[in-house]
Amino acid sequence: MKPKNRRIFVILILIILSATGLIFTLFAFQKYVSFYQTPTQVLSQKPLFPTQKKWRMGGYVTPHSIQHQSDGLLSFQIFDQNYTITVYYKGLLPQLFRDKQGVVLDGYFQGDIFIATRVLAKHDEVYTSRARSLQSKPRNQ
Amino acid sequence: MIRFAKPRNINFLLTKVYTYAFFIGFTLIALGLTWGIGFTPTDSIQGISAKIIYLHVPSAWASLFLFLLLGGASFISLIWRLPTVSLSTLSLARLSALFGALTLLTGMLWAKPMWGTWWVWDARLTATFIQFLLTLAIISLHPDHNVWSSQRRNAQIFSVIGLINLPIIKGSVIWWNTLHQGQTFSLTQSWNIDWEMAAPLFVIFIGFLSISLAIVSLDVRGSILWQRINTLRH
Repeated sequence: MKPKNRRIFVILILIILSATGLIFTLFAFQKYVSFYQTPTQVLSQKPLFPTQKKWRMGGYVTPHSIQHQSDGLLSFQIFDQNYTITVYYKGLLPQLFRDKQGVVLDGYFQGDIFIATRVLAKHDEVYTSRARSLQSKPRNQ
Repeated sequence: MIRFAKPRNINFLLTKVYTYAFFIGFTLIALGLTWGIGFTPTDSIQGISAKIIYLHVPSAWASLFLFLLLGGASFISLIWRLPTVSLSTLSLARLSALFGALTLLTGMLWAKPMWGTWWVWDARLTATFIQFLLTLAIISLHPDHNVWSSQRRNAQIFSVIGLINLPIIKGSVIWWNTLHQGQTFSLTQSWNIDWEMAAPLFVIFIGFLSISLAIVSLDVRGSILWQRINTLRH
C-alpha cells in the first residue's frame, strides 16, 4: 500500500471505530440522555417505584387550569396526548409560564398529585410577530 | 525547508484577502445586528428577550461550520500534506472555540429569562459544551507555527475524530427530549420563522465567516513568515 493510501485507511478506520463506539454508548444510555419523560412514560413506570422517587416530567399546561391557592401555593395541570396530571408548586416561575406552554417539572408524587420542586419553561421553535396560540397538541414522543 | 507552492504569491494573496474580508465582515456584522435588533418585528410570545438570537444563532452556526472546516483542513493536511492548509488548523480551532464560547454565553443569557435557569444538562447543551471542550483540547495540542510536528499531527487527528460530534449536536433536539427547542431551520421542511427575522441571521453569519477568513489569512501569513525567518536563521 502506498503511504498516502495507508494514511487514508488508518484515519477512516479511526473515525468508523470511534463513531461506532459512540453510537453504542448513546443507545445504551438513551434513557439518561433524554432530559425529561412525558406523563405517559412517567405514569407507566410510577407503580414500580417508591413514592419518594424524583421525576423530571415534561408536558403542556392545561388551559384555564392555573389557580393561585393560599400561601403562594400554585396549582395547575399538565397534559400530553394521553394523560392529565395535577401539579402543586410553590416558588418562582419562568416568564413564559402560561396556558398551553411547554414546561419541564422536577418533583415527586403524593398520591396522584405531583409536587413540583422546580418549574422550567420550554419554548417552541417558532419565531413570528403574528399573534399565535401555543402548541395545544403535544408532539408524539 | 518547506516547499510552499509560490510563497511570494501566497503572501500577497493572503494580505489582499485579509484586507477585504475584514472590511466586508465588519460591515455585514454591523449591518446585520442593527437590522436584526432594531428593525425586525418582535416575537409575539418571547418578546424582546428573543433578540439575542441575532448573536446566539449565527455564532452557533459559525462555530460548527468552522469546526467542519477544521476537520476538513486537518484531513487534507494529514493525507496530502499541504503546508498552507496545515498552517490554518490552529487558527480555525481558535475561531471555533471563540464562537463556541459566544454561543454558550448568549445561550445562557437567553435561557435565564425564558426557561428560568442559566443551564441544564440536556442533550443539546451538553453536546455543544463537549464541542467547545474539544476545540480547547485541539488548541492546547497545537504547537505554534511548526507545520509537520507530531503534536500538530495529533491535534489534526483529534480534529478529524471531533467531526463525529457535529451530527450529534444537530440531531440532539430531534432524537431526544431536550429543554432546548427543536430546529427552526430545516433543509427539507419549511422554516418556522418569519422571513424578516431570519434574513439578518444569515447576514451576521456571513459576517462572522468573513471575519474568520480574515483572521485565518493573517495567521497563515504570519506562520509562513515565521517559517522563513526560522529557515534564514539556521
